[in-house]
Amino acid sequence: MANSTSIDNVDIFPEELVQGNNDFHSITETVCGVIEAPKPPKAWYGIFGTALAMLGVLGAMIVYLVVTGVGVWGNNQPVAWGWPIVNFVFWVGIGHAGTLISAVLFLFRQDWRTGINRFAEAMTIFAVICAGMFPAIHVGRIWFIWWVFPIPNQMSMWPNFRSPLLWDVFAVSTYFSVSLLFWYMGLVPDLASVRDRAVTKAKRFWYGLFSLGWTGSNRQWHRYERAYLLLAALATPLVLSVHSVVSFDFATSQLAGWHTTIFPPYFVAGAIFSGFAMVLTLSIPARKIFGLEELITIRHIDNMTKVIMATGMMVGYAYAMEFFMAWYSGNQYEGFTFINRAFGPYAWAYWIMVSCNVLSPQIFWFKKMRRNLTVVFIMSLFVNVGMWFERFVITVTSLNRDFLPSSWHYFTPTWVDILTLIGSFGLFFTCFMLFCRFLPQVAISEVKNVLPSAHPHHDAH
Amino acid sequence: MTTMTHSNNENGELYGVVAEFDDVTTLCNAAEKVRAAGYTKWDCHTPFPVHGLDDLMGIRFTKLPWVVLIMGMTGCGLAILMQWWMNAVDYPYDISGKPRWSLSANVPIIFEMTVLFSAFTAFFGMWIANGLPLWYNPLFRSKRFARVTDDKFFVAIEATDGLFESAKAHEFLSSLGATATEDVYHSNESTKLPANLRGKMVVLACLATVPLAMVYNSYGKTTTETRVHLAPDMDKQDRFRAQGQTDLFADGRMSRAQVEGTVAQGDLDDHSVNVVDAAFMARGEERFNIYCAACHGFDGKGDGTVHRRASELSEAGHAQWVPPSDLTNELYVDQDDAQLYSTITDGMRTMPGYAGQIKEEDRWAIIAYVRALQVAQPFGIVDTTGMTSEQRGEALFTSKTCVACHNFTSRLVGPPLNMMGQEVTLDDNATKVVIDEAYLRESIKDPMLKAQATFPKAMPPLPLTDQELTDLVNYIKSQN
Repeated sequence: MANSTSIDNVDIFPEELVQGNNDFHSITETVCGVIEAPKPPKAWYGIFGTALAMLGVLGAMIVYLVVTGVGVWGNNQPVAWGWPIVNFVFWVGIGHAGTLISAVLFLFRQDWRTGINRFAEAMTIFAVICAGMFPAIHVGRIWFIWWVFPIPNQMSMWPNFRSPLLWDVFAVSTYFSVSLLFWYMGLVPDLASVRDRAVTKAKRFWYGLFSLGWTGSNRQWHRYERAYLLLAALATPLVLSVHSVVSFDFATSQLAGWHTTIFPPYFVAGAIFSGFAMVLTLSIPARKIFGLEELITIRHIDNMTKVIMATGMMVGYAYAMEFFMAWYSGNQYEGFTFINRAFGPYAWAYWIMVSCNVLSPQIFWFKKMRRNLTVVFIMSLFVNVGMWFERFVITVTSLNRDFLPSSWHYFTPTWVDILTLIGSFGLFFTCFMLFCRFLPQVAISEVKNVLPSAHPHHDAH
Repeated sequence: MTTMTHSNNENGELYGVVAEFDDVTTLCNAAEKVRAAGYTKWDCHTPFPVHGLDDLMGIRFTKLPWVVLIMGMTGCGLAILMQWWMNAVDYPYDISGKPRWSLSANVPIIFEMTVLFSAFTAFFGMWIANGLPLWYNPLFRSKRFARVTDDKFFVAIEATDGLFESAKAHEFLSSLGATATEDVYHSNESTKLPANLRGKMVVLACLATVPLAMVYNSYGKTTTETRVHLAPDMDKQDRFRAQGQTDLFADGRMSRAQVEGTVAQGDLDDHSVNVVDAAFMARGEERFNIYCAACHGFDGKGDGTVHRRASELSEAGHAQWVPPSDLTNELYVDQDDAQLYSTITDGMRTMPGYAGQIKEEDRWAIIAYVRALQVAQPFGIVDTTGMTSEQRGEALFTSKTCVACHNFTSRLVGPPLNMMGQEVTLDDNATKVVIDEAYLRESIKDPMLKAQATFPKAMPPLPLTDQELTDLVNYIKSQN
């Protein structure tokens, strides 16, 4: 069991999912070692400090917004949905990779998910927190946000269940709850690993508390695995539904550029696209900083770039199909909106979007590029930028030239808009850095399970 | 192979025996044998789920999926019921006349609730079925057992098993390839909560009900206290009110008088002075037919299509209708142009003002045209030969425009006239009067002398001869 690179497995796996001379114990050592190190790596301090400062900026911006009013943003007629909705859709999109990797790839028995799923799930949770924040503060009077929930109140009113905005509330909050359960459930056996190795009393207490008294009992593993499968089966349609529902916010309105049936699949493809890009942006530095190269391998990165290329082309197809439908429908408003989108005042944003999302991933046709970490990292940043611009283009270009030419208006963000977006990255990275320091970054028990020695009779003694 | 016992002097009862194994294959073989030996209270402990071990141990397939299915369906049903009751029954939303209840628009939330209920059931159901969280487990007292979450595999046989004998178990497990076996004891510490902690928890639980009780107490009640403004931006805005004070002007008033000589737009010309020629009359006719004829009729006799339709509805009891005036009536023949102008501009009774729709010069043109209608159809030539007093009264009731404000069934502008013999309150809200013939006569001659409460003081005195007055009163009496 010491050496896992046996020749028998070449036919099954093109490359080992776990590289180097790793056995069960060394995997535990590698992952728990990050948490047990007396001090985190220097890079951690740098990133965490920066993120914390940005989080402070976010806090200040929210306080300023709440005490002053939504007028501090650039939103105004006709662009009543400005950056807050752009940022919301951007973050929700990023939050798709986690559950997709955990649930969909689990159902398809893609074992390579084990190296990156914990990472991606954590990223999902934090991204959805960032996403949920934007509509919440966008309501202006945030102390009335509970009106979106069907809670009996002194007004004797109920929410309108046929509004896509309310569907959003249910879809995003359900997605967040289920992702959180899924993530925590996967964490429990690994928290038990940390508990059993803990040397300080505080660690024994806290990891003991959250590992719920897990003993690795096989009678418990049996139900655990069943529940995991059920959650995966439930999360799979859920992950597809969330961005579909987000797209309904746009698609059910009567605005040219929004009112199209292609939106749900187009949004879902874009979400997976951006989510995988963010997983790469995070995992390439993290595997280096925390020494996880043997668990998050080049093969994982290679696979993810392929997913990015596939979904990138789906998104590109959607861009093209939107143009085709605008022409084919013969609807003059639709036609105007799309000509305006590509050649109007926001043409710069449109072409940034197309180059980042459609053109740049084409580089991944070459294996050499898929395996060049610098190239992959830079491309993942391109995709992140491109996907933010996609949401900007959809939201702003459709609104800024609406049906009444006298109200046409070129939207520009205010400094509060910009700092709030930057601040949301602070929130995301603060959470993520805390996760990297205090929780197992790789699903220990799942990675052990893909070692050949995890299966009885493998070496036919 | 070693046999080791805890040297811990806090040991309580024996929990059982655990055996450590180095690899999966040996563990699987051992599990098969332990089961064959007839043990029932035993378990394998592994760092990851070992595939195939469930069958070897003879674990019955969990019923969890069925529970999840049932709860998922519950979530689905609750979502349908909730949306139906809240949006179609308790607080119906009428949006563009769409149906109050249409399932397709409720599908997204039905789906989300189904998934939410199923997922929570799968998660919490699994922990409950596994008996977790359970932070005390005697197995944690074994140092060796700590590697169960790292790289070692364990079989544990509990002392409560009917076949259990410590020595035999050690021997048996060693023979199955265990690298070590060990007795595990319960702790002899009490598992009960310290008494003072229990007391504190009771106090905390009681305190926790206080906010809930306050919420319950204020539920559905009103208050005269000003509500708390967390952020006053929407309620209190910086602005100058029309009648408010200001520092901007020396006199401290916000309302400013118009600069001397200010003329409203279009008011420079006096439109009341017109050359009445064919073109002017034609303009008046055109405007009259557009704006006035719908109610007043093309001949101005108050018999327009709106009036005819509204009267039908009114008679069928579907509406109340104040009839439009007959403009050829002598009442309006006698009105001067300024009064007619005022009526067109500001309205009268249920007629709205037309200042917004009809330009000033056009209002004068309409007045000129109305004058022409009055000349063309002289009023008051009714052949009364052979008529009874009541019939003459009925003709007067129409021609003297009583009909504009009164009928015999209900309140219009004035009181209904079918109240002979009934007692009414006058507008001093105190005096009671019984309506009789004397009251009618008196009130027709001088309406404001004994006006009824709650009605506008709008009726002008009618100049009638004694005979006419008698005819009118007789007609009113005949309708009672």
